[in-house]
Amino acid sequence: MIFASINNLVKNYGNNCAVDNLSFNVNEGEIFGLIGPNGAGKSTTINIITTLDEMTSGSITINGMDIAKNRSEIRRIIGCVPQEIAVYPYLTAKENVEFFASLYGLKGEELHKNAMTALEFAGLADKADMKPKKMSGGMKRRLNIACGIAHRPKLIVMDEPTVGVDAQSREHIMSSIKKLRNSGATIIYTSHYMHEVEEICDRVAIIDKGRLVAEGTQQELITMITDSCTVCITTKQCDSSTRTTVINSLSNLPDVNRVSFEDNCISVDISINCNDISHVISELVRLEIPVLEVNTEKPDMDSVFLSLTGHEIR
Amino acid sequence: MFSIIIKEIKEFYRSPVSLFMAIVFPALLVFFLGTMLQNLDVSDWEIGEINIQYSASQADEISAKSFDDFLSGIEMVKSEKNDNKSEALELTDKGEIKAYIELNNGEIVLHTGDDGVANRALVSLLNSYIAMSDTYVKIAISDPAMLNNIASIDTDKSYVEQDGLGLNRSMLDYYGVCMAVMMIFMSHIIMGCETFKDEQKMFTMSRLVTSPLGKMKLFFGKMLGLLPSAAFSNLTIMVLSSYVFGAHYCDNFGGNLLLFAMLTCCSMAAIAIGILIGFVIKVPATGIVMPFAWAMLFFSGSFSKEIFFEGFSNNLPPYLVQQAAFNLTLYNDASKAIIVICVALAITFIASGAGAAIFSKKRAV
Repeated sequence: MIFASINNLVKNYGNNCAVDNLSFNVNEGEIFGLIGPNGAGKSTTINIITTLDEMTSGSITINGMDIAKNRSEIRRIIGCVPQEIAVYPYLTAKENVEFFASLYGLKGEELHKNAMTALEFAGLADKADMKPKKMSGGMKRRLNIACGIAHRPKLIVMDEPTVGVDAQSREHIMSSIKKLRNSGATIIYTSHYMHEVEEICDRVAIIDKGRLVAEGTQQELITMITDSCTVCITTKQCDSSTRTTVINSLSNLPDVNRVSFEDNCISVDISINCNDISHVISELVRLEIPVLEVNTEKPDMDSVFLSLTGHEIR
Repeated sequence: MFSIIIKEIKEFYRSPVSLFMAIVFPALLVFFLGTMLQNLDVSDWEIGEINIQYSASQADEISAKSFDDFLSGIEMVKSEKNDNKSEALELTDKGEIKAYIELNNGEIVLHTGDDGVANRALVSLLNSYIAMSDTYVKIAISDPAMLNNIASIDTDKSYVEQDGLGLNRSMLDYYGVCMAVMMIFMSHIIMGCETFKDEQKMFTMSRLVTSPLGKMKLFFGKMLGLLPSAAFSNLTIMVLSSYVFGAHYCDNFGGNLLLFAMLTCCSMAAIAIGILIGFVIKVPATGIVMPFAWAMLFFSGSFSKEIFFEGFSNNLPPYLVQQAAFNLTLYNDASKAIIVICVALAITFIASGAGAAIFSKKRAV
């Protein structure tokens, strides 16, 4: 079910077109990745979705409501986690979370309960009375997330929430975002870090120069740039006839596109949609070819981005 | 909106900068100005004993007698007759006596020595003697009969009666009001200028404007949230100057309450104007507002009561607020204070309306 629909979105700043006829859909309960280099139009798109900025033309529907007509209602169901750490340094962690949640009409026991739940979620329950100025960068980032989710929004928009955090905090944030998705929230997530997008995003839209380059699951995007992945099997040195036998046998297997055997390495290009290479290994066992090591070289999102845009994300 | 007001108050009393501007700065102002003004009542030099010689040989008998009586009546002056002018002048040169005075018919000649303090004291004494003599002459011309009763006049009685409406007024009464006005026109305008810029600096503006609260409630919540801190700084000046340095405002609680209400209304107007300025100018407000406010306060006599330019100073807002406060504190006249309150509320209404309109159209980030 489509939760957010962005249709022909255009945003001009004077003569500069920041977003050019952008369209994509975000399904309910998924983590939707929005990736692109600096200046691609990600933040502008997010600012428009979160009602921070106005669009020049186009339409956005969130949870069945038109953003142009139902700004206030849409704001109630959206939670923002900005790229910058947007908290008050002189309020405690709990006061920060409670303040931002109170803007959404929460009060009394419900406000307190939600704030504590958000802090627990961010792993800061024991730091509820600590002021952000005394927190580490990772803790501030987690507090930044807690402030955006305490009112239990249906749509959470996260703009590069892991910038500048240590590995441990990043891991915590990643697992927290997955938990949010599992609890039913829909998440729009932007990041420069491709491995994060690969790790958590169900579907991805690649934006470059304000335009949508591609949209789909990671598998769909990889399929767009190549139809195969390479399996490198390390074996012992073989004579020429054995090599020919191996090449001929493997080439006849289903999903195998091409086979080469050089030195002690057999390279098998198999269909990208093939998720099982056991038949390749079984055939080698049948031919009594020892399998010493197996490596799969699959195109990643960096390769996808490079292939689709012609340049790297950074 | 209430949660924004509470947040502003919490931020105010936890932020060292806010506390400094609202409490420590006015407290320091009161302390330094209070100490300085208290010291004004203490003389810089000890005059001590002034030994002089004088000659009245050239004066008529009545004048000589009068002058003798005058000098002998002054405790600090030890006078001795000496008609040998050259000897007396030599003693003056040597510093053995402070001065030599010649009383001639119609004039007094003072030959002074090197002691500047003693010289100034003697000039003052002789001026008062001349003024007194002139008075006698004028009485003699206008009503000679009165001179017959002069002996019966009690010369020890003070003819200057103090009338402070029951209060002993001091310089701090003037500067206390001026300091409160200074805080309004400097600190509170800058508070207004910076309040939304601070949200942008902390990146919290995006969260605020994307909440369902709405920009209008956000604007007025922020504005009203600054008011308690501004009112608190006004109260700090009034209380500190009163209890620490004995400054007086009104002689009744109602008057003081009205004065506080007037200052608070002016603070609210200053905050509203400050917010408006903050929306219009892109550069840090302090650099523009400070010099302008300082000049306005300077020409309004806030730093020195001697500075006043007719037709200019009396039309400046700080001067008008100060005058309303003085009328209230000195004469219990509340009419100007009420006018100031009404004008301040009108300015608040107009400035906040314009500010809210600009804010609602403005891109938040």
